[in-house]
Amino acid sequence: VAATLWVALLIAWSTATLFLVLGLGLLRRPATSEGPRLANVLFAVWWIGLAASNAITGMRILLVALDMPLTLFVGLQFINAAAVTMGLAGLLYYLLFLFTGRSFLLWPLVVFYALFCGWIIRSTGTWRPVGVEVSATGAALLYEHPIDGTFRLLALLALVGPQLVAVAALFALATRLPPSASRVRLLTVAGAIALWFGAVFALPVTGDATVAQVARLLVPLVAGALVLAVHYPPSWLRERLPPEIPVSAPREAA
Amino acid sequence: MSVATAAGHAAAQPRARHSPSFALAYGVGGVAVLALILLGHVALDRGWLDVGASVPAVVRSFSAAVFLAIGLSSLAGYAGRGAASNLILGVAFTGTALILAVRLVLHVVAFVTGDGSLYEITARLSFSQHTYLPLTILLGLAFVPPRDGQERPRAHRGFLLASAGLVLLGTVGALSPAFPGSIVEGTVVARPSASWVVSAYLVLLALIWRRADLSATVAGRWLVFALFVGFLNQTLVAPFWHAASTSGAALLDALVTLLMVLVAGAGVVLEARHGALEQAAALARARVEAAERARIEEALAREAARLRVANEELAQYAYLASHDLQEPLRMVTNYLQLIERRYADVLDDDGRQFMHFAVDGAVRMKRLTNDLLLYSSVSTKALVPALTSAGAAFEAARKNLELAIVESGAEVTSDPLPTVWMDEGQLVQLLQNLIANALKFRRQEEPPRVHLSAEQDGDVVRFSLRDNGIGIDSKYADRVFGVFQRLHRSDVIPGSGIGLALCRKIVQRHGGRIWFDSVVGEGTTFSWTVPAEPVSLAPARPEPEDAELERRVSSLIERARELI
Repeated sequence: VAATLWVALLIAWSTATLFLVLGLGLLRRPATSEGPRLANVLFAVWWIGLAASNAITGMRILLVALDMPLTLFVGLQFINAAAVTMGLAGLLYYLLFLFTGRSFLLWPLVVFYALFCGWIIRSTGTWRPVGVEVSATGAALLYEHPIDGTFRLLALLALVGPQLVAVAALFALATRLPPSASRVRLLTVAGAIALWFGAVFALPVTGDATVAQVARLLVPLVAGALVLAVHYPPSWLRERLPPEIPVSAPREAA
Repeated sequence: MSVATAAGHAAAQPRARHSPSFALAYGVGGVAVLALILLGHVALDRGWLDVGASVPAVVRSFSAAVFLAIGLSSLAGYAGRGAASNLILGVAFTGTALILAVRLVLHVVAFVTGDGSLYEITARLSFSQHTYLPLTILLGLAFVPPRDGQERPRAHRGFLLASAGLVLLGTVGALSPAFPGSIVEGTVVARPSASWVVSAYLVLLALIWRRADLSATVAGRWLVFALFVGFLNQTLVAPFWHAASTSGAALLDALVTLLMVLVAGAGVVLEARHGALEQAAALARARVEAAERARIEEALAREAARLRVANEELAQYAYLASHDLQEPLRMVTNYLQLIERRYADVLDDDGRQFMHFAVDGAVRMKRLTNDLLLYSSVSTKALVPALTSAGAAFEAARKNLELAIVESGAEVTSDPLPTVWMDEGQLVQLLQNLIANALKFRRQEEPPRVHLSAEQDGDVVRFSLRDNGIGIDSKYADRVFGVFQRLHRSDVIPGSGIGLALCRKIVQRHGGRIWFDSVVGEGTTFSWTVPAEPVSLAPARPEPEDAELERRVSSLIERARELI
């Protein structure tokens, strides 16, 4: 196994650890009522889903090093599909709640993304995995009948399109907020999510293969570190962040 | 083996902690399942598991037995306690055991007769088995929700019928060539059950996660673990079938199924035992806590009664003090004024000035005692809220202040005012104090303009009294409504500093709140709310569109502040 693969494994698992810490931290964040609490939990599901996906990326490299059979790679692919689709469901719910303040979309989203997961699993079989392709920075399944490029793009758009729109709306929301720590967090989270989508979905489709592979490894790490830093800022950063948005309340004398 | 805790019991009690044995059993079980899966992949890949068809069948028979044992014990638990979670588990696992048993029989027949087509049917039954388990649980959650602790026998019957229908459908489907079997074109990595069942498992895990009342029960935890392992079975074990040896794959599939049932069963036994002990401990704790709570409540009630008496005594004391002080004060004032009048010519300039100070002090003290008497009477007098016309109260207040209004050339107006649920005398007092304040703190360059308006805001009426006076600096916001708090010297603008404190007390006694908005040099708006009598109020004015938009944006920013 090439040394670059071990580095890639280290990066993938470091990223997974960052995302996991972030997700578990969000689970403990206090909320004023059930709606925001659920949105927080679903946002944590997104980060934990990403943590699982990155952990699986690293695990694939380990399986290559241990010369494990193809069937195990296929199994991990199924788990990865579940982690990513549930994470995306969580992210979309969180964003929808943020913009609408309504909770009724939870179950339609869960069912839609669960079915999407089933479709990915079903398709994995249709594409016929025949081996594992090992590159300088990772390992991926090799299919006998890989998915068509245009169809793949459409499927990706259906999968992540709503999130991309919502992330654009996050940027728009930032213009509404006064200069504050919340706005810094908002911009960082929106930027990190946009980066993640770009690295994971856009680069492999359009970019150079090696650059895409390196970017797929490094961008999530950088994005995770940034988001973690603004949520749990070290003292030097905390001093530089603007204050929080003040709680608005009527000037009440009684 | 019994699934002991009922959903209804758990819903009524605090969420039980996971015992170490429970966590250990599930932790060890989870690792064992994963290790078996990992080894299974390696063994199949190396061709170590090329066994005959009978071996997986034997393993399945064990699984069927364990499924049946857990299912029946859960049904027994349901018969004894009527808990919905036990019913769901009982039907789900007994039904699964039945399908497994059918598969076993078919295997044996196929082995004895050498009829290969029967193996295809057992493969189809595998699909039925894996679909039945999550669908039954889903049905259970939909039909017999124990959310409110109320069991529904009719829903239970519906659930039983629907589950029986599922078994029938699955079996008939397995015998029909219309349904695809597991084996597709020589490879079975794409067996149908492995994809859509994963979707079902994901939805179910989310459902049970949201049903805190169910996942807090022993049976519910069992369910979560079983579903989680079922999910692993459909993701990590499904690709076994990709391997060359289908008999080996069948063996591993059966082994993992058996292992997950054994592990989950062990968890149930441990948790049921621990749960029983915990319930006893919780009962004892609850008794101690109830006794302690009763003691604290009694102490609180005593303290509240003591405070109430002290408060009443204090209010009475203030009333009596201010009342009884009036007579001697009147004497002091009268005689001081008499001395000032009669002996002014025998006093020198210093003496006359001292006498003037004494008379002035006595007059201010008299005013203070009068106001204090009024203030304390608001607390001591019984409140008589009734349907009161705010318009009539406004007119009464204006009439009381007629002289001051004429002298200052003020314009005191109002919109049409609603009827409110208030003590009429106190409403007049409130309006009178606020209007008098507006007349008193006027700007010299223009006559005072005072306007009163009101609008319904939900279940309260919000009044706003706007003036064009000197305004109040926001830094005094905390002091304005305090007793004896004055922002101006009494020799510049006379007053005792009780007027606004009195207003606050009146509004608070009526369950409302009072506040102000002001711009120095432009004027002040005092606003207050009082409960509305819904039928007697004018309809609320619709908010303009831009206000609605503004409200939405504010709400969005509030959510962002909390969620980002």
